[in-house]
Amino acid sequence: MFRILVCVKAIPNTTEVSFDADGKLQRSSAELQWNVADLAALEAALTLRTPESTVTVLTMGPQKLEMPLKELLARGADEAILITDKSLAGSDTYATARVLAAAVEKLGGFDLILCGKQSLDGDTGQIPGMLAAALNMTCITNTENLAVSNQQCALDRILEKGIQKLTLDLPCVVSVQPYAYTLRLPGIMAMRKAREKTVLMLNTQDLDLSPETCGQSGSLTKVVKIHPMRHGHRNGPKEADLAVGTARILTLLKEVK
Amino acid sequence: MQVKSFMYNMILSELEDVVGVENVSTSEVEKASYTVDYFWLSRMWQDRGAEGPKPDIIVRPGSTEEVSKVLKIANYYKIPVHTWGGGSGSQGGALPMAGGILLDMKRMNKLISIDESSHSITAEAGMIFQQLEWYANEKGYSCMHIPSCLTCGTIGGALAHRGIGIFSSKYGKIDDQCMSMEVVLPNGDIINTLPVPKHAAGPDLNQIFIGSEGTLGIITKATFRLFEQPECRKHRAFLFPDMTAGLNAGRDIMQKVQPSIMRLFDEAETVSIIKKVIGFEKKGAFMNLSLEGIERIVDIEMEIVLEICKKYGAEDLGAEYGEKWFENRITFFYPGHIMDIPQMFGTMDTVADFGHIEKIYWAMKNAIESNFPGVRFIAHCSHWYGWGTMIYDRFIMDNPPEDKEEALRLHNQIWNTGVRAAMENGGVINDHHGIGLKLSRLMKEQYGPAFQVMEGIKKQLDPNGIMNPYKLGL
Amino acid sequence: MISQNALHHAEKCRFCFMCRHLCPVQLQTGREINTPRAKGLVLSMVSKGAEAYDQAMAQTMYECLLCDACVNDCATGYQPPIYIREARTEAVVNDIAPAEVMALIENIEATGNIYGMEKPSFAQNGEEILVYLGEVASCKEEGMVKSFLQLLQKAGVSAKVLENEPASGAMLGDLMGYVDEVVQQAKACTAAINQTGLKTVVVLDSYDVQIMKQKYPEWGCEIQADVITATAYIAQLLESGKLQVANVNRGLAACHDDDRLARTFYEFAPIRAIAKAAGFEVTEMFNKERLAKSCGSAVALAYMPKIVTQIAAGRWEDLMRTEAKIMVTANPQAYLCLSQAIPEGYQLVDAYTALLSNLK
Repeated sequence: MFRILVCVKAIPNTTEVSFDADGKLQRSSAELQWNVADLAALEAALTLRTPESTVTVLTMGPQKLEMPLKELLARGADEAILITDKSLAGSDTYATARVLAAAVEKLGGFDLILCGKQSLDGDTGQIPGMLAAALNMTCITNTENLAVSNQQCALDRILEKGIQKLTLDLPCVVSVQPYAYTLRLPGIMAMRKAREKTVLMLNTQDLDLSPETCGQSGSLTKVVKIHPMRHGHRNGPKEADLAVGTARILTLLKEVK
Repeated sequence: MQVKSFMYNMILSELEDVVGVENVSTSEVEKASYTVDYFWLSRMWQDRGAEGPKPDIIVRPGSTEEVSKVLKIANYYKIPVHTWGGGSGSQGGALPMAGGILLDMKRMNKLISIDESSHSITAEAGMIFQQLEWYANEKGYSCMHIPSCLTCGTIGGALAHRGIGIFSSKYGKIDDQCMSMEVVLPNGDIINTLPVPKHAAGPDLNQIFIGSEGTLGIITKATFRLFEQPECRKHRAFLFPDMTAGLNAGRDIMQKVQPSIMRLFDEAETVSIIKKVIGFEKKGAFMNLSLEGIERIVDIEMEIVLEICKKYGAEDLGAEYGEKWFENRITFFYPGHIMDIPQMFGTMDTVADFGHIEKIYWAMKNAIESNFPGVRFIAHCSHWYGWGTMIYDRFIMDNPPEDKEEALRLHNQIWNTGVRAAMENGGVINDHHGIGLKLSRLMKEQYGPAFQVMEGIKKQLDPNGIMNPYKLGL
Repeated sequence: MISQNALHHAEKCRFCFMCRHLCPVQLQTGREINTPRAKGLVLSMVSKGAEAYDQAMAQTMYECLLCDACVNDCATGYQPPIYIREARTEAVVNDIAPAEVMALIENIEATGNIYGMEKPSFAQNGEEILVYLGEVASCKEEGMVKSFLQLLQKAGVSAKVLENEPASGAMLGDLMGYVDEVVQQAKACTAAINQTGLKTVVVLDSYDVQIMKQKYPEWGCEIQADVITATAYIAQLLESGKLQVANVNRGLAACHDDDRLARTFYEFAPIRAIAKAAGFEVTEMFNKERLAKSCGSAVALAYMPKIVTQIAAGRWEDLMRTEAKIMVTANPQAYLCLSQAIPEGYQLVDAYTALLSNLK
C-alpha cells in the first residue's frame, strides 16, 4: 500500500482575528478554519491517490477539531488523526515538527508527506523543512503539479524567477502552493460514510513524548510581543452602483500603479 | 402530568381555531428562534451554549380580531402573553420570560391607507418599519422615522419602546409622529385612541400605550404623520476641542435652528468608532450635523450653525465627513462594525436637560471606569431637544468572565452603577431603547411614589398580570 | 454538521436583524424562523449542542428561496445562503429532509429533472449559437421556448438545441447544497456544451446562467463558449436591427427583475428594452432591480406550493400599487411562479412571446 500523509493546521479565521489591549492575539475569540495551502495539499494527495494508496490527514490542535476533521474525511481522506494534549499549547514550529515526526514514526511511516507551503497565521513556512529534518528525509517546498510513479515524485517547484522541474526519490516531504489545487466537494454518500468513521486521537503519552519536549518548554523560540502594524488604512464607502464602483476601483488601481 | 396534557391540548386547539393550525406552533426550532433578541444577556447565554427563555406556544395572528380572541383565551386560562415584533430590541423586552404564549405579530403587515390630504399613513403594527417607509416613499413622502433598526423592528415595536430615528431633532420621536392607534386590551376589547393627537379631551391615551412594552395591551394598528421629502439635505462636520464646547454649541444650535441630525462624539468614540468607519484620524469631539428642508432656508441655517461652532472653537471639517457619516450610518450596525460577543457591552442611553447633561456624562464615566477595571466607556449625544439632549453611552469589556453566571452578575452590576449615577445626577433612565427586562428593576427608583400611577393603570387593565410579565417594572 | 466556513457566516448572522425586511418568505409567513438571522441562530445552537438538528429544523432550512436578497443587503458581506445550503446538505446526509424534497431528488435521479417526466425535446441543428433551455422552460413553459426559438429564427440566427440537454445542476444544488453530485452534473453539462464546439451559448433560464458562471469555474468546469443570458442576447439582436418591431402601444407594464439576473449579474436593461420593443410603455415597481422582491423559484414551488404561491401574490401586490396592469418577465421560473397568483384584471406576459407578436 502506498501511504500519503497530509499535515493540516486549523488557524483562526483571518477576517476575525482581534488583539487585546496588550497586543496579544485573542485566540479564544477566533473561530477556526483549515489553512488554505493545507487544503491544496490534501487535494494534491487525493489527485495522486490510486486504488493501491491511502491518504491520511494529521493535525495537532484542540479536541473541537474532531468534526472539522470528519469534514476532510468526507472530502476524500481515508483516515484522520488528531494529536491533542493540553501540554502541547504554545509549541513553536520546532516543537510542533518534533511532535508530528513522532506521530509519523508511531503510525509506521509514509511514502509521501505533504504540507501546505505555510500557514496564514504563523506564516513561517518552517514546518515542512523541520519535519523532514526530524525524519531525516528530503524536503522540497513551494510546489505544484505533483505526479508519482516508480517510487519517485515528479513536481514543479515554484521559484521567484521560474519553475524548476524536479524528480525526487520517495519517501520525502513536499510542501504545496496555496491555490495550486482546489479541494473537491464531498458527496452525500461520502459524508454519510465519514460520519461513521472515527478520528484517531493521540496524546503525548501515546507518542512517548516527555513533557519537557512539548509545548513552550520544548520550544526554541518565545513570543515576546505581538503588535499590530497600523498602516494608514481607511475604509472606503460602500458603493451600491456596480458601474460607479468599478470605475472607482480602476482609478484606485491606477493610482497604486 | 396527564392532566396537564389535557389542558395543554385543549388550549392549543382553541388557539388553532382562532388563527388556523398553520399559525400555531410548538416546534422546538421555532421556540429556539425566540430565545435571543438584541439584549446582550440573551446573546451571551446562547453563545455559551445555554438554553434561553422559550415560549410554550407560538401564535401568529392575522388580524386585530384574532389578537382579541387570543387575549380572551389567555385571560381565561391566565396564560402569560409576550408580544414579539422584529425581536430586535436591546432591552430584552420581547423575551418570553414567563413562557406561555408568544404572539409573533409579523403576519399583521398590511398597509391600510395613505391619506394625502391629511399627510398621514395607517398600517398594521406587525409591519417592519422599512416597509412602511417604502410605502410612504412610493407616494413621495417619508415618515421621517429612520432609526438604525429601521429594517429590523416593527411599527408596534417602535411604539412599544418609544423609539427614535436619526432625524428626530427636527421631526420628533415616534411619540411625536404617531397620531392614533388601535389597541387590543388584555381583556380582548378593541379600542382606538382619539383620531388626532392634540386635543383637550383629557390625558393622551396614545402616550399611555406608547412605551407600554406589551404590558398594557397590544398595538395592532397605527397612524403616522407623513412628511414631504426635503428639497435638500446638507451635511457638515466639526471638531470641537472637548465635549463641553460641543455641548454648548449643540444647545445654542437647537435654540436657533433645527438640524435633523446632530451627533456629538466624545474623544473615546472619535478615536475608535468614527475612525474605524469613516476614517477620521484626529482627536477631540467630532460632531456631524445635517440641515434639511427648503434650500434657501437651509443655507441661512447653515450660516448660523457655522457662526455658533466658530464661537466655541470648532474646526470646520466641511461637508465631506458629514456626508461620510450619513453614507455609513447603517454600516455601523452590521456584523464586524459593531460590538459583538465575546465582548460585553451595553448602551445606557440617558436623557437630561442641558443643565445636567455634562455632569451626568462625567458621573457615569467615572462610576464605570473607576469601579470596573477593564471596562471602557464611550459616548455620543445623538438626539437633541430644545431643552436638552441624550447621551448614547456605551460600556465595553473585551474579556468578560468565562463563567456565564459571573458574566451575567457583572453585567447587571455595571448597569446598576451606570444608570444610578445618571439618575442621581438628574438624568432619566432611558431615552429611546426602552426598559424591557434589562432595566425593569430600576423603574421604581426612577419614579419614586409616581410609579403608583403606572401600577394603578396596570392593575385596572391587566388584573391577571398576563401581559409581558417582569418587564417595565410592572 | 456544516463546515467551519458556513458556521462562520451563521455565527455572524445570528445576532443581526438588518435584512429581515427583505426576506420574501418571512414577509409572507411572518415567522421568526423564516428570517436569515433565526436560521443562523439555530444552526449556531446546533453547533454548540444546545439544539438538535431534527426534521423540523431541516424543514425550516428549505423555507428559503436562496434569492440572495439578504446577501445583497449585507454591508459586511455575510451570506445566509451559504449556511442554509449546507444545512440542506446535512439534512439529506442525515435523511431528515422533507419528503417533498426527497421526492424531487428522486425525480432528478430517475429522469434528470424535478418533474419526473421525460423532458420534451426541442432539438434543432444550428451552427451559430447553442441555446440552453433548462428543465423548467422545457417541461413547463413550452410557449416561452417556442417563442424564443422563433425569435432567433426571425433574426436569422442559426441556433442549435441539444437532443438530450443535461441538467445544469442548479436544481440539485438548491435541493441538496453544493456537493459532489452537483459537480458531476456540472461536469456532464460542461462536456455536452463543449462538445458542440460552438462559441456562444445562450441560456434561457438565469438560474442556469448563475450556476454556470459563478460555480462552474470554482469546480473546474470550463465552458469554452461565452455564456450569455437570453435577455441580453435578444436585446443585442434588437439593438443591431436584426429584429425589427412594429410601432404599437400595448399599454403600461412593469418588468419583474428575477432574483438571479438582478442580484448575481445586475442585469436590468435588456428585459426593459425587450418589453419596450414588444410595444409596452414601461413603468417601475418600487422594489426593483437589486431590491426586487423574489416571486419564487420553480424548485421551491414544487416542494412548497402554498408558500410560493403566497410569495408570488406578494410580488403582484407590488405591481398593484403602480398604474400598470401587466407584469412582464423573461424568466421561465418567474413566469411559472407568477402564473400561480395572477390577480383579477391583471395580465402576466412572457417577454419573448410578446416581442414575437410585435415583429414587423
